[in-house]
Amino acid sequence: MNKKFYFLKSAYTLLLVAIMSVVAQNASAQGVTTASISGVVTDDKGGQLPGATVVAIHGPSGTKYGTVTNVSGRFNFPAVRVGGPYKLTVTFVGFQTQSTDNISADLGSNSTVNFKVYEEGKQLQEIVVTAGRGAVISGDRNGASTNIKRESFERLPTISRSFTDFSALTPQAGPGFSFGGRSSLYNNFSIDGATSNNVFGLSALPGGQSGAQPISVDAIQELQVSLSPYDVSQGSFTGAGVNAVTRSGTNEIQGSVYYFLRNQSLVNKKVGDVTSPIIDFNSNNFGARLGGALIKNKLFYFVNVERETRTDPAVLFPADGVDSQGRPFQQTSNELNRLQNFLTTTAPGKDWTFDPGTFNTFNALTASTKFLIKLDWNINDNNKFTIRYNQLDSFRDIPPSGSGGFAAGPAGGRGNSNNTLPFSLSWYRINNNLKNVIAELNSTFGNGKFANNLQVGYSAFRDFRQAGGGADSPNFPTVDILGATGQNLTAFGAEPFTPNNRLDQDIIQLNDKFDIFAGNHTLSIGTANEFYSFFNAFTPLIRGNYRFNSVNDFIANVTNAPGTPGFVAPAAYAIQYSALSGVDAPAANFKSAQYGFYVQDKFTGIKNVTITAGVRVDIPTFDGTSVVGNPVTDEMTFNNNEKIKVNQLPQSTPLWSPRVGFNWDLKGDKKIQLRGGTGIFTGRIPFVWISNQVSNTGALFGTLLGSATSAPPLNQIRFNPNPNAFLPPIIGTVAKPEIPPTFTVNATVPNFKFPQVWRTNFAADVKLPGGLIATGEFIYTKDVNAVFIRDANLANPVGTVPGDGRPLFGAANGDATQPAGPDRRINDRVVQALMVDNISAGYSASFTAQLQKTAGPIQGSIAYTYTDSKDINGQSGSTAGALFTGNSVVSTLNLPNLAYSNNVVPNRVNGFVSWRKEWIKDFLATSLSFIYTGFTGSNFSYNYGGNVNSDGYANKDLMYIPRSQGEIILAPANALDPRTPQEIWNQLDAYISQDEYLNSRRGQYAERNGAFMPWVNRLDMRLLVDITPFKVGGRNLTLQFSGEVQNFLNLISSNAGLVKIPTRSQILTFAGYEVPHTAAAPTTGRPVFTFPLNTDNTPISQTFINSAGLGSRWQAQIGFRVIF
Amino acid sequence: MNYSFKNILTLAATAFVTAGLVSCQETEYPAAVPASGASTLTARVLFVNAAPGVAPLNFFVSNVPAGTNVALGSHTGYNPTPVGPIQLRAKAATGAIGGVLGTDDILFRAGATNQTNFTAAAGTNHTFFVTDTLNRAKPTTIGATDLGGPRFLNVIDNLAAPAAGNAHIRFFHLATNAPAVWVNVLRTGVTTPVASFANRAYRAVSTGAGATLVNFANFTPIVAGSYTIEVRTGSATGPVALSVPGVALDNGKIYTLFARGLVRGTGANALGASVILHN
Repeated sequence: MNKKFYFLKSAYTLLLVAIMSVVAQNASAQGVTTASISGVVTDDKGGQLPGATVVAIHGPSGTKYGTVTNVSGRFNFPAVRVGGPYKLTVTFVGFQTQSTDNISADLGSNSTVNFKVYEEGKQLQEIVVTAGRGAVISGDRNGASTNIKRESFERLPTISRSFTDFSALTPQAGPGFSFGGRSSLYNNFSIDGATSNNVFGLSALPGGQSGAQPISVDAIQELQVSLSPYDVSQGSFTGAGVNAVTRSGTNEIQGSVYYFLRNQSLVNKKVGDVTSPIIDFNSNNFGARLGGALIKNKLFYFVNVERETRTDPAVLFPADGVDSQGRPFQQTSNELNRLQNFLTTTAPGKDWTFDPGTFNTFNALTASTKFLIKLDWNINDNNKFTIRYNQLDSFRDIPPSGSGGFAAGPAGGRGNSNNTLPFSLSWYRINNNLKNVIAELNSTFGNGKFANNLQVGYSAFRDFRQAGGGADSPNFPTVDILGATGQNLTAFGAEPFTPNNRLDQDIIQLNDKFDIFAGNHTLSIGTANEFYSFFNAFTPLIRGNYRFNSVNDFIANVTNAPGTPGFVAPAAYAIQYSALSGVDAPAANFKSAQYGFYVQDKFTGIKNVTITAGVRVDIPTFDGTSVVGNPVTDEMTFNNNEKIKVNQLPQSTPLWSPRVGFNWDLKGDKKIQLRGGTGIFTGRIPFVWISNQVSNTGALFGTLLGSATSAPPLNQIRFNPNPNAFLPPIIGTVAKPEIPPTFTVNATVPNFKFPQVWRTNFAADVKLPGGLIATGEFIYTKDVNAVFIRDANLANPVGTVPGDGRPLFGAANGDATQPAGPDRRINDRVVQALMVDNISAGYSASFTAQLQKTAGPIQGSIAYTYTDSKDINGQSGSTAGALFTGNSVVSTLNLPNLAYSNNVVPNRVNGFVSWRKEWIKDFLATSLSFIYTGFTGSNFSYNYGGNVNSDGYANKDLMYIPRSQGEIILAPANALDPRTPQEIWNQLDAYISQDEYLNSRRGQYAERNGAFMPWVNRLDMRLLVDITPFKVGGRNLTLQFSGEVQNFLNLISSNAGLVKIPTRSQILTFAGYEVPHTAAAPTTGRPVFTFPLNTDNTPISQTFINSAGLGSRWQAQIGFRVIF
Repeated sequence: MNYSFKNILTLAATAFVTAGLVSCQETEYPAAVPASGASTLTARVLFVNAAPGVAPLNFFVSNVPAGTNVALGSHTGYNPTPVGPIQLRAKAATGAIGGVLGTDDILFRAGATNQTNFTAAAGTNHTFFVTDTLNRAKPTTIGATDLGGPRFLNVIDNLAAPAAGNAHIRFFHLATNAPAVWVNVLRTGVTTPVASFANRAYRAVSTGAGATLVNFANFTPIVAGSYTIEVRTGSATGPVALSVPGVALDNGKIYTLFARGLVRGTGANALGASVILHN
């Protein structure tokens, strides 16, 4: 493995040196950062004119690009600054000079400009310049892509000031940051070419956990969402490649200072007809940008800084409060004060003190600071250099998790509720920080015959947790104290998942692309490489967790020695500790790299046709030298005689991506274009799935769960502020780990491959009168290597569930205390052996019809997209374990049925329109914009509550929808249920009948993600009022007032723009089997179900209710901006 | 050239559509094999009102009536029930239960939340006594949802036929405020008991654990005949608290005896014993 790794490394180095020496100067790859302009120069007789000089000048910056037409009369500017307008001039001895301006260059797109020139002295007839429509109608365009320009960023509504509101303008966009039904974790997001998605994958984008945006929309020049670029230089995604380029300075100083405000009074207080105000909050966003030239036409700067803060009250259920019906909350200041006093002072038998923070309210903060600086240096006409640095510092305060880790959490959790009020130090603060620098050198040489693009980048992601308010997490156990209701009253001490919690990601990028322009061929060779280093420490419950039934019990436990009369044992005690001697916080620490090489030819030798054909190879490598092995699992045999080596990371497998694309300008007049292509795309997996293997080898942690037989037994455990007071001697080492009695392992199959899809698309664009362009686009994606997770330790089913027919697993969970009966664990010591594996099932298909207008005072687009997407695994889990259990199944979690993807939106209509009008010249202008999105609501699965198939995973079994009463055995839900089985059936039958989906599936199982929530209409609006009261230094100074409303329909009527959600997706709860149903004879009893009532004992009778969330309410934001 | 590109394109499109159709095959869900009717398996339950001060009761299994107007000391016949989880409930025959429960019903409650239903096994017979007074206090344990007042007590009935010439008998102490009792079954005029039930505490259905477990629900065989039932307190020779003469235990019959009422109770609530004939 390592040998191979190093072999590849040296092979790579050799190749790189080779490329560099050929290049000698300075290329674009993974992420797209530039635009291109190309065309053909002909004489008035249509003959191609070689040797003509073509100069392109970017007006705002004076950036100049020069080249000479080749033997075919063709010229190329392969990498020009995004934006414009450009002025192009053609000169040739003996011919009249001809030029055209107002050419715009779109990110990742080619603008075609063809010239017809006339001999000198000849009567000038008309200047004939044909220019393509930038991103839409362009010879280089073959796949599906959407470009969103700066004007849109400036005008369209986004109350979250997030670029994802704009990437969602892509017709194929789905929920979150997903496209075409695929997981958002499979996208590649680049800023100026720098990989900027969260490749570890705990969220799709940096700042995902802290509620921050990775980059300000004020810093973005243009955004491109590319679903099927047949250009093989683009890679690392099987979802979409989303590329943003930032603004650059120009010769004129331009800048803006801005402020945006939101709070609870700018949110609808009603949902439908129900008054339900949201809690007070306060959100502020202020920032500034400035761009200009340090040396005119030569050296430019752009700077953006933005600060966003939001405060929410932390305590919504205070001590001594009462609920809406006047019933007092469980938490009283008396009891919490008594506890706080006890903790902060010494007492007989207690020589320690601890300050748990406050139980009074405080402001929970969400804050981020973004900073970006960019320098553009036009070294000369042939060499352009750009360097850009950006930084994100962000955090969010979050209440303590209610989870118990490997043990059970306290009833009612730890967050603030009408029963529970945690102390402030038990909150945690998640920090998502990012620093990124990228440099790019674009060169042309050999009189325009060659071009090179070189990118070098470094990104450092630093995610970590602190205690509430940003303090250090205390070296003190987590203590839960229950109240009289049996629900958790309070929690204090360390948040159980916060100590040591840290994720460092370092990514180095090195990309180079070399283009050779030879007649009708443009040959590109290149390399795209990323080197990753990960450090992930996650030590749940490492400070231990005590639970007491009351404050009195806690005090009695602390102040009396075990065995003495006043002593009270804890109700529970659990700790997870490092099983490695001398290693306080075991962490996943590993390196990986992905090497990519490609070669491509763009052929323009057929009239009006551009064909791109290329092949790319991606070679992922993993360095698992630091992974601690597990001698116990090494000896075990799992299902299907599988052997698992937990310290063996996947082998390197070259992944080939051949692609071919075409563009056919039917008549050569840029009016009708057919385009498309087919090929393989190779992505990455979220590296957390690999990290799970490194940290779950079974060798890193031991656990102690207090019980009558534990050492020490629970009744001898006296609270100790030292978290390590009860640990056994730690004797395991990295070389000789001590494997605990039971453990979970994660691993990858040795020949695991990164995801690959085969994606084909076919489209037609037609230019219509009035500047409209109509597009029809079909995209079909077939999974070649999809990822799925299975539990190699899950035994095969022992039979089928009687009265249902699905596979039934052994009931015993296999520990030594349950030797009898069918056992669903193959090796009793292994709780789960999760294997990351490949499968070829899965596809996604979409059809889009779009009408757009990209120029003029009124611009806009309207599109309808139909999408079908199915997969085997949801692909959205942020851990391998979550991915495994994240599926609803009929058969087995080890191979879920092919079913709708989590992100599929079958029908979606989206569009935007923006209209600007200058009412009084140079004084008053307004612009009004709308974004409309109408879409089928989210999908969901009708599962049984409980665990019908006995596989150990509750609420994952898809329900059977009975045709008649005889097909289901029903019982009252609980001791209080007033219904007879007949009445329960009548209610259930009526419910199924009124639910379109369920009624259509009678006699069948429900499908995973088979049910869809009702259609959602969402209209967002933004109004800008520009007042230019005076000039400063001869230039307009504009004051801009903005008001924007998300869900504008809801502002018109509270009954419009509502999101409907299912009341309950687990309509049937598994109550047990008919008896007998024993471990020895598990297939004899049929399952019995309950159809639960509403809390007021009324039957649930309709599927959907109005969501009371923010999606059902209008929200507004007001802003003020100074522009100069 | 135009034509040839058109041809290539047509060919490619055809190949793609074919490939698309081939790869569109889906992994189907397995065929469902649903239940095809009510279970042929049943359990049986018999309800007894043994709660002093409680008005006559109506009993329900999963809210289906299972006996009406059952007064203190009386019982219903066996009701067939589904197997698996079933709900057991008693309502006052008229008006409310009263006492701690007020208008709430007497419910069988199990599990940590005291909301779980009873689980009945196929072919099993159960006797459910309603015991305790109207004013049994609500427990003070953490998280208790038991409201207090009358409650169910469940025992399994082994209705295997007694040997020829024998009857089967067992005893439960359900007299709310009485101390533990010693019960002797005596032939008239003979002081040595034919059978005895030693040291039975209120509502106790077993004693000991593991190898020393004694299940009070098990029946004791006894030669058929007429007997005096003597209930003593303190010890097997302690003072007689209750003596019921002339109790006929017939050949092949199965009986449950239970002490009911209240120490110092009067009228219907007076200390007494009742007999259930199971077959």
